[in-house]
Amino acid sequence: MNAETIHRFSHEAMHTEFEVYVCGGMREDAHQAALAAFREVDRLEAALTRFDPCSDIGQINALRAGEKVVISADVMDCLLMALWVHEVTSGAFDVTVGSLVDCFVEQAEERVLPVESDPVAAAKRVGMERLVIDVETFTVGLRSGTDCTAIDLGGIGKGFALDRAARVLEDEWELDNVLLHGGASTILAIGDGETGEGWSIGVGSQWEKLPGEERVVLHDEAFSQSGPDEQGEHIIDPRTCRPDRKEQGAWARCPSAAIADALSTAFINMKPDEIMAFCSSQDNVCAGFVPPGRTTVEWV
Amino acid sequence: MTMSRRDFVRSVTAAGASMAMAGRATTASAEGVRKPAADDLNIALIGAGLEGQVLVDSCLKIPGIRFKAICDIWPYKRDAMFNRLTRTHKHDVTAYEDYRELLAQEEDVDAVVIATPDWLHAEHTNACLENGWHVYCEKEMSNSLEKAKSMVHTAKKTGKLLQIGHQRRSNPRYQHGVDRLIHELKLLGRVTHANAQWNRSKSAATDICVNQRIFLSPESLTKYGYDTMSRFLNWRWYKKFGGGPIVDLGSHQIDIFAWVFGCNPKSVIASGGVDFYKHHEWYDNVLCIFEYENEEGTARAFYETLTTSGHGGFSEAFMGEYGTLLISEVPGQGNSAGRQPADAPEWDKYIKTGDLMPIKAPPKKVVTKNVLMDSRVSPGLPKWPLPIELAKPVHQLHLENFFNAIRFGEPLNCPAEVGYETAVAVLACNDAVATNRRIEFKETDFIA
Repeated sequence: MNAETIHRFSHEAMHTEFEVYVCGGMREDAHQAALAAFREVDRLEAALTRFDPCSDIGQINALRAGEKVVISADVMDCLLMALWVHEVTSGAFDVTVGSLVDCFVEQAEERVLPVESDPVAAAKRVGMERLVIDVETFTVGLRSGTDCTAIDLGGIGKGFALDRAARVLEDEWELDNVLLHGGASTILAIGDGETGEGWSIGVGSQWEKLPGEERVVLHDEAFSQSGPDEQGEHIIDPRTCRPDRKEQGAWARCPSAAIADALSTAFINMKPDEIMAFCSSQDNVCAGFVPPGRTTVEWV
Repeated sequence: MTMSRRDFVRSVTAAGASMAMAGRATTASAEGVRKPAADDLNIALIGAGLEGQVLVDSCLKIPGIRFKAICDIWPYKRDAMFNRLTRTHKHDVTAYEDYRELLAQEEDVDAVVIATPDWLHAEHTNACLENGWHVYCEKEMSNSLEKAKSMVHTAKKTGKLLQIGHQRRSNPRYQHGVDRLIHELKLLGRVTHANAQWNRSKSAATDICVNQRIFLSPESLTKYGYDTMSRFLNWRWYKKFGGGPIVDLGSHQIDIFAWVFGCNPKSVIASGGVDFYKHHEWYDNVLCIFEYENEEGTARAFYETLTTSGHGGFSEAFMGEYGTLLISEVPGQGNSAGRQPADAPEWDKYIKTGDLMPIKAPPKKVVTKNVLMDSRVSPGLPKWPLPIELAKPVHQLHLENFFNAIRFGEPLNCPAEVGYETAVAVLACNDAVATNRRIEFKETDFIA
C-alpha cells in the first residue's frame, strides 16, 4: 500500500510540545483541525494546571480540612480516571504527590505556589483517600483532620488532553487517521497510519539501542512511557514518598491516553510481579518494563 | 485491544465514579445535591460560544444558580451546551435559536447572562431589561457608544441591574492591590505611571475555522447579519461586529487605569494598524498613551496589544514614587509589589498586617571579615508577593457580585455607568489610530 501524506503540526502546552500528525487530505484542512485540537488542549490546561491558583486544581490545592470546592465536569472526569488508576494499582499512582514533586524537582520560575521543602512534611499531604469526591454535586473536598493537599496531574493531564483533543478531531473534523502526542511520552493513535498497517512508533529512550523492543505498532490505542532519562526525579512513588531511582523504564498500552499516561507512571513504581498480576486482570492493558538486572523490555 | 477507545474511557470514568461515591476515596459523608432554596436564581444564557462556556462554568460553581434556558443561533454550540447542562448537570433547560422566542416563552427567569458578539449586546441587553430581567453582559458594552448609552438608559428606566463583565473589578487581588495597597496604604506613594499589555502569539491570534459540516446555513448567516461563516467565528476582527484587539483585550486593563487613578482620562494618543493580517478590518497592533489628571497631578499610562508576538503575556504595572505594583489576572504573570529602597519607607510592617507576603529568604552568603564589602552578583530589587489566598476563579466572583446584588442588594462592582466610561476610553483608541490625532476628552463625554 502506498503511504499517504502526513501533515505535521506542533503546539506548546503543558510545559511541553504537543504534535498532531494528520494522515492524508488537504494540508490546510488538516491545519485547521490541528488548531482546533490545540485549542482544546489549551482549554483543558487552564483547568488542570496547579500553577494557577485560580484553576480548579489550584482551588482544590488551596482547600483546608473540611472545605470543598465545585469543579468543572472536565476536571471531575480527569480525577475519576486518576482515582481508578490509583485504586487498581493499589496506590502506585497518586495525583496528590504534588508537594513531593516540589521537594524533588527544581521549581520553574513561573510557579507561584508556596514550595514545600521538607520531604517528611510533604509526605503527610499525599493520599487520594484524603479527598472527598462527589460526582453528584461536582465537588471535591478535603477530609476533616487532614493537611492541605497538592494535586499534580503531571502523570495524567497530558494523556487526558490527548483523549479530549482526539474527540475534537473525530467529531468535529471527522478525521479517522491521526497520531497525537504530548511531549512524546504519551501518544494516541487514531486509525491505522500512513500505510494502513498501524502507526509505527519507535520506543525511544536509553533502551532503544539495547536488545529488545525497538518499535511498536499502534492501532486505535494509546502508548505511554515513563522513565528516568529526561525528568528522572519527577516520578514519585506515592507508597514510599520517594522519587524512583531504579534507572528503569516502563511502558503502557491501552485504549485511553489518560490511562496509558497514568499507568506508565504507576508501572515504574510497581514490581514486575505486581505489573504482571495487574495486566492479567485487565483485558485492555499491556505493560512493558525492564526487570531488575535485565537490559531488555519485557511485555505482558 | 478488545474495547473501543471511547467505551474504555466511559467504563473507567464510571468505575472511578463508583469508587468515589462508594467512599473508597472518601470516608467523609457527602452532603448530596443541594435542595432548592428561596434565593435560588433562574438564569438564561444568550450566546453559548467560548465566552459563554467560561461564564457557565463559573455559574455552575455558585450555589443556587439554575439554568432555565439557553439561546444561540448556531445549533452546534447550542446543542453542546444544552447536552452539557441537561445531561451532565441535570438542569431543566430549554434551548432557543432566537432570543425573541426566549423572551416570549420563558416566564420564570430572574436574570440573563449575555455573551454574544459586541454588536448585539445592546439589542439583547435592552430587550432583556425591558422584559424585567437583570442582565450580566460581557464587555465590551458595545462597539458603538450610542448603543452603549442606550444600555445605561434602559437599565435606569427599568430599574433592573446591569453588570458589565470587567471581572477584574471583583477580583480580590485587584481590590487588595488597588483599594488597599495603592489607595488606602499609599504603598506606592503618588502613582505617576502605568504600563500594561496583552500580547498574543500568532498561533493564539489565528482565525478560528471549523469543519464545513457544522457551518451555519447561508440562510441563517444572512438572517442574523453575518456575510460569511468566517466572519461569524472571527467577528472580533470586523468593524460591524466588534472592536479588534484593543477592545477585546485592552478594555479589561484600561478599565483598571481609571480605577487606580480615580478618574477618567483626559486624552489619548495611539498608533497601530492592519499591518500583519491583511484580511482583517481591525488593527492587529495598537500602542497608546492615556493622560490622567487627578488631585495628585498628572499621570500617564501606556498600553500595548500585539497579536503577532506573545512576548510578556498580559499584566499591568502601576509605578509610584516608592515602588511598583505588578499584577495580572493570572498570578503567575504578576502578583507582587516591588519597593524602591532609596525612596520608600519600610514595608515590613505590611507583612505583619497581612497586606504583603514575606519575601523569600535569600540564600545565606559568606561574609568576609575586616573588609569594606564583599563582591557579589547583583541581587534584584525585592518583590513582596500579594497574599496568594486572594486568588479566586476570575469570572466567578464577578458573577457572584451580580447574583448577590439581585439577592441581597450588594452594590454592583461594574454597573452600566462604569462600563460606559471604560467604553468611551477604549473605543477612542481606535479613533485615535484612525484619525492619527490626539483625542481630548471632556468630563461630559463619560456621562451616558
